[in-house]
Amino acid sequence: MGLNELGGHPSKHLAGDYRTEAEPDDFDLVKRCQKGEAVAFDELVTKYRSKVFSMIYGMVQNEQDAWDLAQDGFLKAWRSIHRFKGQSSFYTWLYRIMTNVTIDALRRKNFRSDTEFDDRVAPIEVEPGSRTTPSSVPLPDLTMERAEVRQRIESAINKLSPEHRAVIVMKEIQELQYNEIAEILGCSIGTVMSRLFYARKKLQTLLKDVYENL
Amino acid sequence: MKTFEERYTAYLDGLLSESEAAIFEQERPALVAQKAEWAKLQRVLRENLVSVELTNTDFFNSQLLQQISNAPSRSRSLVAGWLGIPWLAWGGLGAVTAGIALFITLIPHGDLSDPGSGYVAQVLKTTTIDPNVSATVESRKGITIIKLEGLEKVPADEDLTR
Repeated sequence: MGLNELGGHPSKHLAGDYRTEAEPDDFDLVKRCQKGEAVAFDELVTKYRSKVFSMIYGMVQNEQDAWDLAQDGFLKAWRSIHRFKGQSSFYTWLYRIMTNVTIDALRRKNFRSDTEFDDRVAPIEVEPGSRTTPSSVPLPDLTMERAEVRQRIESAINKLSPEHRAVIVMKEIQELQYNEIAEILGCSIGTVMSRLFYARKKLQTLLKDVYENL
Repeated sequence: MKTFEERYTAYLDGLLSESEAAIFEQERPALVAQKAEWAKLQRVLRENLVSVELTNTDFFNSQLLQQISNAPSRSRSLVAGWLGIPWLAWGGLGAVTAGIALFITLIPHGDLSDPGSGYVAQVLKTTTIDPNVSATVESRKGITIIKLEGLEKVPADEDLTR
C-alpha cells in the first residue's frame, strides 16, 4: 500500500482553500510578512483563523482556551515567519505551529472542558416511595439527549493524550488524510495510523454505551 | 503495511484493497462486527462534534495585531541582538583569542635546547662511517643527549673532549 493510497487526495481543508486558488496569494502575503508588513499577516489571519480555531477547539474543548491558543499560535507564526521557506504550504506550516502550541499547552495544563461531564447536568429524580436509587448509568432503552451525548464525547476526548486528540480531531472532524496529518505532526504515516488505532479503541471503550444506545 | 495497528486502521477507513480486506477478515472474523461498531461511533462523533465558529473575529485580529505591535520587530531585534547577547559572545570570543595569542607569544614552549643540536644530528648521520651505527639526538631541559646505537666501541684515537 503506497502513500498515495494511504493519503488519498488532499483533503478539502488543505487543497480546496489553499493549494489551488490561494497558493500564490499566500506566498505573496508571506513574502510581505517577511518584510515586516503586519497588514499582510492580518490578511493571513483573517483567512485561516476560523479553521485554526476550530481545530484547536476540537482538541481543548474550551472556547476561551482555544481563543488564547490561537492567538499564541498566530503570534508564534508571525515571529518565525522569516524561517518559512515555502517547502510546505503555508497552511500546513501554520497548522503545525498551532498543533504544537496546543499539544504543549495540553501537556502543561489540564484544560477543563466547557461542558465537562457533570452528573448535575442530568439530575436523577428519585420517586418519593422508591426503595432503590436509580443507577446513574443511562438505561439502554432511553434515548440520550443530544447535549448529554456531546458532553460524553467531549469528556472522552479529554481523556485522550494530546497526540491522540490531535489525530482524532484532524481525521474525524477536520477530515484530513493520513499524509496531511503526518506532515502537520512531523511524524510518519505509520505513526499516525497507530495513534488513530489506539485513540479509536479508547473512544470505543469510553463511549460504548453512547453509540450502542442511539 | 506492516503492523496490525496500521492494517486495522486502514481497514476501518476502507483503504485496504478488496483482496487485502478479505484476507484480513479471514484472519480475524470479528473484524466485520468491529468495523460496523466503529462506523456507529464515527457517525456519532461527526454528528456531535460540529466545528465551533470563532466569534468576535475583528476583535481576534485587533488583539493579535496589538500583540504584534507590542512585540519587538525582527529588524529591531536583530539590531538589539548584535548589540545584546551576541555582542557579549563576540567580546568573549575576542578575549579568548587574545589570551591564546598572548600564550603563544609570551610563554616559552617547543624545543628549548641548543639550536645547534639538530645540526649535530645531521653531521653525525652523514659522518658516521659504520652503516650499522645510527645516531640520534634528544634535547631534554637544556641537555643534549647524543645516542649512538650499534656502536661496539669508541675508537681509541677518538677525542671525546672535543
